[in-house]
Amino acid sequence: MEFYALQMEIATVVLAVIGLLAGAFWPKHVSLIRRGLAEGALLVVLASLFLAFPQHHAFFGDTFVLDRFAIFFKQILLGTAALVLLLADAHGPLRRQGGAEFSALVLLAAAGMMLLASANDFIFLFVALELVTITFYVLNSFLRGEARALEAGLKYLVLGALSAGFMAYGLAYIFGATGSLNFDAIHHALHGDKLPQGVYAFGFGMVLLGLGFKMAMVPMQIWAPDVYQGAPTPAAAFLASGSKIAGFAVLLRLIFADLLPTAWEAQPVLLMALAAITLLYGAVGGLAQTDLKRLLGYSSITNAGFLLLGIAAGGDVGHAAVIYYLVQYLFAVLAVFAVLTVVANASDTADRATLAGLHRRSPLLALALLLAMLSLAGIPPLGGALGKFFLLLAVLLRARVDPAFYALAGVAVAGAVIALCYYLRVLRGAWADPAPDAATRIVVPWTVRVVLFICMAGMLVLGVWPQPLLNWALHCLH
Amino acid sequence: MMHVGLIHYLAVSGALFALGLACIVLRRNALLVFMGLEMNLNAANLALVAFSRYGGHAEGQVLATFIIAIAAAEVAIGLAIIVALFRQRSSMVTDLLRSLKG
Repeated sequence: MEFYALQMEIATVVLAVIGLLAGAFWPKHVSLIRRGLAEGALLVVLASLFLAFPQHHAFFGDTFVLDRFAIFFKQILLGTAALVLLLADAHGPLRRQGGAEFSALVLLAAAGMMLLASANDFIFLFVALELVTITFYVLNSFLRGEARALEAGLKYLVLGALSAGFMAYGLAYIFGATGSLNFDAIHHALHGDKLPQGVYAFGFGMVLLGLGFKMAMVPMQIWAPDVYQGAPTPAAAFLASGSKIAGFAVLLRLIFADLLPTAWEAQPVLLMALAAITLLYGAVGGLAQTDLKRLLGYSSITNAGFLLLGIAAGGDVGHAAVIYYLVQYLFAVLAVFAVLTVVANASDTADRATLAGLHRRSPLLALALLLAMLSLAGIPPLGGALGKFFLLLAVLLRARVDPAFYALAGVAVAGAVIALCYYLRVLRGAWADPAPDAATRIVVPWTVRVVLFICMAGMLVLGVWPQPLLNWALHCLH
Repeated sequence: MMHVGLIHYLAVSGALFALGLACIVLRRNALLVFMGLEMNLNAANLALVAFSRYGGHAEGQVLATFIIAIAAAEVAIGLAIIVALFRQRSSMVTDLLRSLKG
């Protein structure tokens, strides 16, 4: 039975459907259902750690692969979705709107991301990618009574559909050049001598643009600040974590399948330029921001730039560093969004004044924000510091054979220093600014507490004990 | 009589894609922007089917079929968002969408 290969995705979709039906039949117990879905998703992740996956490798006519890399990313992505569901249950505006649809949609998007991690065929990849994108159109504009959410939804829709158009057009040219859409077949065609390399490189470039939308890579990054600011906080959290991780998982898969145009591998000028520009755009753009969710949009762009460093540098070190960075970034960014979910509960907006005096109003939130911001800024002993260190290491290793990478390393350090400024400014708001007179203690719901403890533990453990994850990442690559 | 070959189909597809892009960038009406987006997808469909016909592989047509279905889903959600926005603002001009900025 080949369908055993899909067990995690099937479980996720079944959970989503159960959530939708239960929400329709028992509208009075919606909060219970939402938490039940989160716990169900966590259970699926736990079960997948012990379940036997089929031993052989490719399924459904080589369109779906199930290797350690795919399973690892499936677990990470579904775990992320579970944490986002816990946040959604604590989010004021979403609670007021009622219904279990938001939670069900998060699970469906997660199912699409999990399929993406296994894609071995461009048709499969495109359909899974659109499952994620179209679900996010709804998630971002879910609070349809609010003008901000609708504006964010429309902006995401236009850029998302544009990226889908780029990708489809690029796929047409990849198909035209190689005569196939299957990764294995394209790989064989690439090493034949009859391949029109220019046509293939054009097609692949367009596909990279389409993926760049998911990763928030220049030039497809313009949506990020607007959408993060306007979308419901849990949806923005899932965009920053799950969507980005899935995008990079696909890019890594394309690299492992050896589909990069041959000219790009010998001279990765294009990838280097993309990494440098993305990194600096996010770092410089974030400096002038006062809205925290918007700032996180720019932070997300900077981090995409850092991750592209590892992609450009390549090699086992570069790819393992990307995997490590993705996991530690996930903890940091979810912690920040968890804090914002509670602090900005009433209005769903978060300028810096909303954080004033946070250490008096809720020490737990202030501590989580401190750890997350320091981790994002790359200060030891947190996960972010090691993540940046491994990426720089990969760049410097590559620089020994290709001196242009020294310049890239310089750009990366400059970007990290600029970004440090705005992360520290957020912390000053939370720890140094006096609380407004009317401020009261903030009650943190237990669902958010769970998320915060998991994220803080993740950041600290990854910061002081990186070997297990790093070994596992290297293990995944072979 | 001129023989119509692969290159002609690709030229039409490229023109369609360029028109779609121009429509997205230049138009200020949300519905027209949306129309441009659909034109992009259909440009890709045309190229896929042409490559499929002249290359002799069927996969291109399979993907084109999937793209048609996906485009329909995208239209359903997209129009819902545009209608919700219209109810709120009584306008579909994208220039008014400036409340999100830093």
